[in-house]
Amino acid sequence: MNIPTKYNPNEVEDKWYEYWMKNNYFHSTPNEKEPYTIVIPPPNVTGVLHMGHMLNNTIQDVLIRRARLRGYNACWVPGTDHASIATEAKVVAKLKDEGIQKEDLTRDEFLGHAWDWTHKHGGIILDQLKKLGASCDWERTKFTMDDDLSESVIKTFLDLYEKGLIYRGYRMVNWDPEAKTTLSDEEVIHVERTDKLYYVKYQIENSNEFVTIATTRPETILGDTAICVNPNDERFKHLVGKNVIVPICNRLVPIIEDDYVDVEFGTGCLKITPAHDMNDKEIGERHELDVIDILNDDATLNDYGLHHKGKDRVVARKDLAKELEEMGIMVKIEPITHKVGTSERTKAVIEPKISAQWFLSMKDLAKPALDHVMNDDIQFHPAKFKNSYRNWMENVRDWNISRQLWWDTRFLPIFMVKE
Amino acid sequence: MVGHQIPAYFYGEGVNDFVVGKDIEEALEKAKEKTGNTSITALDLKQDPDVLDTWFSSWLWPMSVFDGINNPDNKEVNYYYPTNDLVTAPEIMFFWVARMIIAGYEYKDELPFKNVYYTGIVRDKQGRKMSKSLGNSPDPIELMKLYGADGVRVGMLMSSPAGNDLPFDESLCEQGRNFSNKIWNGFRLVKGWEVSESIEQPEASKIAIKWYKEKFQETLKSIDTSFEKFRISEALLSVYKLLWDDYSSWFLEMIKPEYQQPIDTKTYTEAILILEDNLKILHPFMPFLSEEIWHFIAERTPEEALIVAEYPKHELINNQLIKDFDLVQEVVSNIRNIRKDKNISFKEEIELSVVENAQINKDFDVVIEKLVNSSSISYVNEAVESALSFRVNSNEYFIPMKGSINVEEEIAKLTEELKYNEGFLKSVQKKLSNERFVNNAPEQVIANERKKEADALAKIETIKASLNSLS
Repeated sequence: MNIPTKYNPNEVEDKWYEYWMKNNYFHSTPNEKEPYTIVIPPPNVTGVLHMGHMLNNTIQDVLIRRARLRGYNACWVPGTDHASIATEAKVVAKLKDEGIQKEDLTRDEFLGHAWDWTHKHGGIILDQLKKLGASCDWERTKFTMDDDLSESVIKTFLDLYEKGLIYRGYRMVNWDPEAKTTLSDEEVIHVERTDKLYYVKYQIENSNEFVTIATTRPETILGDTAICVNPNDERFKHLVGKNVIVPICNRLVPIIEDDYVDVEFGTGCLKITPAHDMNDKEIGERHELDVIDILNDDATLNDYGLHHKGKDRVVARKDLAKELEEMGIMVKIEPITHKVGTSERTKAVIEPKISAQWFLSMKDLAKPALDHVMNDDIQFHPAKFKNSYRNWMENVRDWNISRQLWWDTRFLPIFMVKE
Repeated sequence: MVGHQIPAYFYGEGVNDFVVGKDIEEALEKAKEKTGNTSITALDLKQDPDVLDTWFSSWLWPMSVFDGINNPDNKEVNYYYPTNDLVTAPEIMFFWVARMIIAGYEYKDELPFKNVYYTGIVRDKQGRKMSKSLGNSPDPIELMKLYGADGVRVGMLMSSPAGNDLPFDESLCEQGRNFSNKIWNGFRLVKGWEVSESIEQPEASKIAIKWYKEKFQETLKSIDTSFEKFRISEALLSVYKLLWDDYSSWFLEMIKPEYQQPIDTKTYTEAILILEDNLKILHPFMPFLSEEIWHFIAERTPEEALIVAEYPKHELINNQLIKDFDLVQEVVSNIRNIRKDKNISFKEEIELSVVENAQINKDFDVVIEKLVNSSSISYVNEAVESALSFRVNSNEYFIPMKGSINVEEEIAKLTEELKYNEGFLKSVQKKLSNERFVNNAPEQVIANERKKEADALAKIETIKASLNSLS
C-alpha cells in the first residue's frame, strides 16, 4: 500500500463522507439495541453555517459517533426551521432588488416567492454540516413546514384551545406607521430629542375643581379612559372615585389610584390612555379600564378623532394644542428632552399600539417542567443554568404565540368599551 | 408568510366572533353550531391572517420529528423518545428548551431529553460576540479548507468548557491540524518498519506494551468520566495527551527498532492493535483522519469500517505500573537535559549509576537504557565521584564524566557560574535589607525580589553539588 507522505484532509474527507453515506451507517431504524437519540436544534432553512453552529454540531457529532461505537442504535435527526421573520426579511430584500414591492403582491404571490427562495437556498446549511462530518440520519431530515409537522402544530393549537389554555388577548406592539409594520423591541432605536410638554386641565364632574395633567402627545387625550394618582398623594385623596370630563370629547372617566404614579413627577396626575402607551396599558389592565384606539394604521386619527379625523398624528397634535388653548384649559407649555422610540429602518417615531394576539396560558403547563428539572430528571450541564431556569419558570408569563405579517397586519380599530 | 397560519376563522366583526378548526370545513361546522345560523358559508369565514410563533412549532420538535403528535403511539416515537442529549445555546433556554420540556410533559407525560448541554458562546479574541456586522467571524467552510474538518473540530473543542464563552482563536485549528499530522507521521513510522519473524521480542518492547495498555485504560476511564460530566473538551484533551505524549513521544520511541533494523512480529502486531484502539477513541473527534488510517492498516469490508467498530472495553488497571513509569519519564528527561546542557551527543553511550533509596521497578531499566543510550544501569551504595548527578524521588542518579566532558573545563565553567550567582544573590539581598525599599515598594515588586533570592540560592546549591561530584 502506498501511504502518502503528507496527510491531505480535503481529499480524504470527501472520500470518506461519501463512503459513509453509501454504506448507510448514519441511518437508524428501531431495533433490539438501546437507542441513543439526538435531535438537532434546527437551524434556519435559509441560513448559512456560522461558528456557533460549528461548535454545536461538532459536539453533537462527537456524542453520536461515540454512542455508535459503543454499540447504541445511534440516531441524530437533522432538520431546519422556518423562523418566519428572518426568512421574510430576506425575501423582501430579494424582491426589492428585482424591483418588486411587497405591497404589490397578494399573500399567495408573496408566499410563492418565499417558497422559491426557500427551495433555492434551503438546505445549504445541511450540506455544509456534511463538510464538518456530521453523521446525521439524512433520510430523516425534517423541516418545520413539512406537512406532518404543520399538522402537528395545528393539532396542538386545537388541543390547547379546547383545553381552554389558548385565549385571545391584547398586547402592545411597536408600530412603525411609515412601513406599516410591527417591529420587535430590537428593531426600535431610542433617540433623545426635545419636544413640548403640554399641561392641560380637566374639569371634575359636577364641580368647579380641575386636575392638571402633562403630556407630550395631546392628541391622545381623545383616547383617555382614566386619570390616575398615587394612593399616598394627599392633594388628590378627596377626588378619587370621582369622574373627570375629558376635554373636547367630553367623555367621563374615573379618577383612580395606582402606585405606579410618581408623586414628584409632573403634576402628580397621570392621564391614562391604554391603547397608546405601554405603562398605561398595564395600569388599564389592573383597573379594567376601557381601551380606545384613536389611530389608523398610517397614524392618522380615526373616528375617535372627531373633527380631527383623518389628520396625521403630528398635525393633530398641533391643532389639538391650539384648540385646548382657545378653550382656556392649556395651563402652560414647556420644552422637554426625552427618549423616543424610532424605527431602525424608516426612522419614523414608533407608535405603541394595542393589538389582538393569541396567548398560551403557561402557569399550569410550566409546573411539571419546572419540577423535573429541579429534581434532575432532566439534567442541565452546567447545572448553574437551573437557577435562571427556575426564575423564569416560577414567574412564567403567558406566551404570545401569534406573529403579524408585516405586509398584512390589519389593525382594526379596537372598541373594548365595557357595557 | 412562511409560517403556520392561525386556525381561527372569523364570521363577524366582534372580538369573539370566531371558531377554531383544523380546516375551513371543520370551522364552518363549528360556526354554524356556535351561531345557530345554518346559512353561513365558507365565504363568510375569514381566517386570522396572523401566523404562529416559530417556537410554537419547534417546541414539539423532539416528538414531531417522529410523528409523535399525529400518531402518539407509533413505533418510532416509542423507541426514540425520550431522546438522550440536547446540545444548544443558553440564549434559547427559555424560547426553546423550557418549552420543549413543557410540551413533552403535556403530550407524552415524559421528558423530551435526559441531558441538556449548554454550549459556550463563540467570541473573537477580543471577547466580542461573532457577528456578520462586525465582520469578526471566520467563514467555517474556508477554515475547513485550510485546516481540514478534523482540525477545525479539534480547534472548536480545545477551549470550550460547557456554558462558558469560547474565545475562538484560529491558531487552535492550526493546533488541530498539527495533531492530524502528528498522528499521521506516527502511523507512517510504524507502517514503514520492516517486520521480521526471526527476531525475539526485546524486553523494552514487552514492558512498553504492558505500560501503554495500562495508560490507555487509565485514559479510557478518564474519558468516560469526562463524558459523563459533559466535559467534552476535557475528554478531547485526554485523547490528545495520550496520543501525542504517551503514544508518539514515549511508546513509539520505546519500541522503535534500531536504525534500518526490522521489528519483531510480536511487537509489531501489538503496536498495530494499540494503534487501532487509539483510532477508536479518536474517531468521535477526528472521524476522517481516523477512518483513513484505519483503512490503510488493513483492507476492510464495509462492516469492518471504523465508524461502526467496537469501542475498547474496560480492563482493570495496575496503577503501580503507571506510577513507576512516571518516574522513568523523569529520569529520562533529566538525562536528556544533561546531554543537551553538556553537549553530549546521543550516539555517545553513557553509564548510569543509581543509589536506590526508594524502591525502583527495574523492569523499566531496559527502557531507560534504550531511551537515553546507556550501556548499563548499575545500582551503587554511595555517591559516585566525578559525576553529573540528579535526583528523582529520593533516588540519586549519577553519570560518570569519563571522556565525555573535560573535567577541568567543567569545573572552571561551574566556578564561573557560581561566582556570578553569588554576586547576583548579594545584590538582591542588599536590596531586601534596605528598609526604605522594603517599606515603600509595591508588594508585587518585593515578592519578585524574594523569588529572585530563592532562585539564586537554589541555583548555588545545585552548582555546589555538581562541583563536589566533579572534584
